[in-house]
Amino acid sequence: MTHDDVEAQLSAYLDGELDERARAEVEAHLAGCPACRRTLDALRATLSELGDLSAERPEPSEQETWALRMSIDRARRGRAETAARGIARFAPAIAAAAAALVAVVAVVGRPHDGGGLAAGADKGAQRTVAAEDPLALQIIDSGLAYDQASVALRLDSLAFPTVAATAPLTAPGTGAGAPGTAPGGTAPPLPPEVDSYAASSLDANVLEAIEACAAKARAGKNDLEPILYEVATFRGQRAYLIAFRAPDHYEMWVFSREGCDTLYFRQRKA
Amino acid sequence: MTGERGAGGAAGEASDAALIERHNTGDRSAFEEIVTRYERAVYAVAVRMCGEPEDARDVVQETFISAMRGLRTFRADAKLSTWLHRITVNAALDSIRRRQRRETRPLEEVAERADPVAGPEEEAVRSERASAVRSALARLGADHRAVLVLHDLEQLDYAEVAEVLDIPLGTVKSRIHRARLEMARLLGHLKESEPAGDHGPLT
Repeated sequence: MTHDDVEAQLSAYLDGELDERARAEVEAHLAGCPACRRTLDALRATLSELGDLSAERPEPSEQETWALRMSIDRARRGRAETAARGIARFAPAIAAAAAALVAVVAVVGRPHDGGGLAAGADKGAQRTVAAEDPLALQIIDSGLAYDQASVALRLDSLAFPTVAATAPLTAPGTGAGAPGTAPGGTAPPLPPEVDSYAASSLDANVLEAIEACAAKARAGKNDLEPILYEVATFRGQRAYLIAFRAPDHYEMWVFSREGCDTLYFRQRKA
Repeated sequence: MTGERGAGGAAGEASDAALIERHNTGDRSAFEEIVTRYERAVYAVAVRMCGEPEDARDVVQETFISAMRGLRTFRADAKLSTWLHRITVNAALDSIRRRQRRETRPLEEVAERADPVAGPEEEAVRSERASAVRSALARLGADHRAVLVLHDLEQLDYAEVAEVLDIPLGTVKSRIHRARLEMARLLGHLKESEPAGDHGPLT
C-alpha cells in the first residue's frame, strides 16, 4: 500500500474492518510514518469523544411519546394533512366564503374505523384516503369566537359538508379577548392557515383535557364517534367544541376549558 | 438499534417478523409494540441529525407513519431496524435540506444554535466538551453527519450503514474516514492542513 492508501484506511483499521493482511500492512507503515501516527492519534481522540457522546443518548420525554402516538392515531384514521387546512378555513359564519369552501371538502364514504392505537383488532385493511375526509377526527386550534348560531352552523358544516349555508349568517361574536375577531357585526377574518404540524402538535395536556370532556359527553353511550376537537371560545369564554357522529344524528358539545362545564349542546339528524 | 430483539431474544417477546405478520393480518396492537420497541432509536437518530428539536419531532412522526403505511409491502427477509433507520435518515436529510433552503444565516450562527436543546428528562449537567462535540457534529455536512451518527453513535457496523444509506461498502469506509477527519479538525485534534494530501469532504 502507498502512504495515501494507508492513510485512507486508518479509520477502517481503528474500526476493525480490515482483514489480517491489510492490518499488517497498515501497522508496518505506521512504524515508519510519524504523520500517519499523528493522524491515527487524532482519529482515536475523536472516536473517544464520539464514544462519550454515544453514551449520552437523547431520550424522548413522556409528552413527546404521547404526541407521537396521537399523531399515529390520527394518521391511522386517515386524516390527511390537507384536510386540516381545508377544514380549518371553513369559518362558521361567512356565506360567500362557505359557498366557495364547500368545493374543497369532498365527502368520501368511509366505514367507521373505531379504536385507537392501543385498541384491539382492526376491522379491515388499511386504506389510503385520497380525498379529504370530513368524517375523520379533526383537531384544530382555531381560536374562533363562537355563539349559538355559529355553533349550529359549525355542526351543519360537519353534518352536511356539501350543502352551502343559505340563511343570512350571524358572525361569531366578538368576545373580549377573543383572538382573530373583527369589531362590530362584520365577519371575523378566516383563521390563519392551520399548519398541519401545528394541529398535530397540539399540546398533550390540551388533548388530554379535551378527551376528558369528550368522555363526559359520551358517558355510557358507545355509538358516538368524535369527529371534531376544536379549541376556541364561546361567548367570550374559553371553550372546547366537541362534535360527535352517531348512526342517525350528530351532536355538538361546547365545554368550558376549565372543568368541562357544558356551555351549549345541539344535535341534528343525519 | 441492537438486533437481539429482532431475532426474538427474551422469552415471551415476539420477533420483529412476528409483529409484522400480526400487523398485516389486522392486529393493531402489533404496531404499537413496534413503536415502543424502536421509538428511542428513531428519536436518537432524528435528534442527532436535525439541528432543531421540532424538526426532529416531525421526523420521528413521519418515520412511524410512513412505516405504518409501508409495512404491508415490507419484505420479510429484510431487517426491520435497518428499514426504520433508512426512513428516519431520509426524512432527516429532507428536513435538513428544507431548513437550509429557508435559512440564510452564516454558518457560525447556525452552529451555535445547532446544539440540540436538552429535553426535560435529559440530565441537567452536560460537560462542555460534549457540547463542543455536538456542535462539531452539527457543523458537518449532512452526509458526513449521517455516517457518524449511524456508525459511531448508534453502533451500526459498516455493512448495516451501507444498507441503511443504500451506498456501497467502499463509500461507507471513505465517507466515515473523511467525516472523522473533519470532526478531528473541528475539535482541534488535527490542523486544517492535516493530513497532507487530504482534499476535504468529497465523499
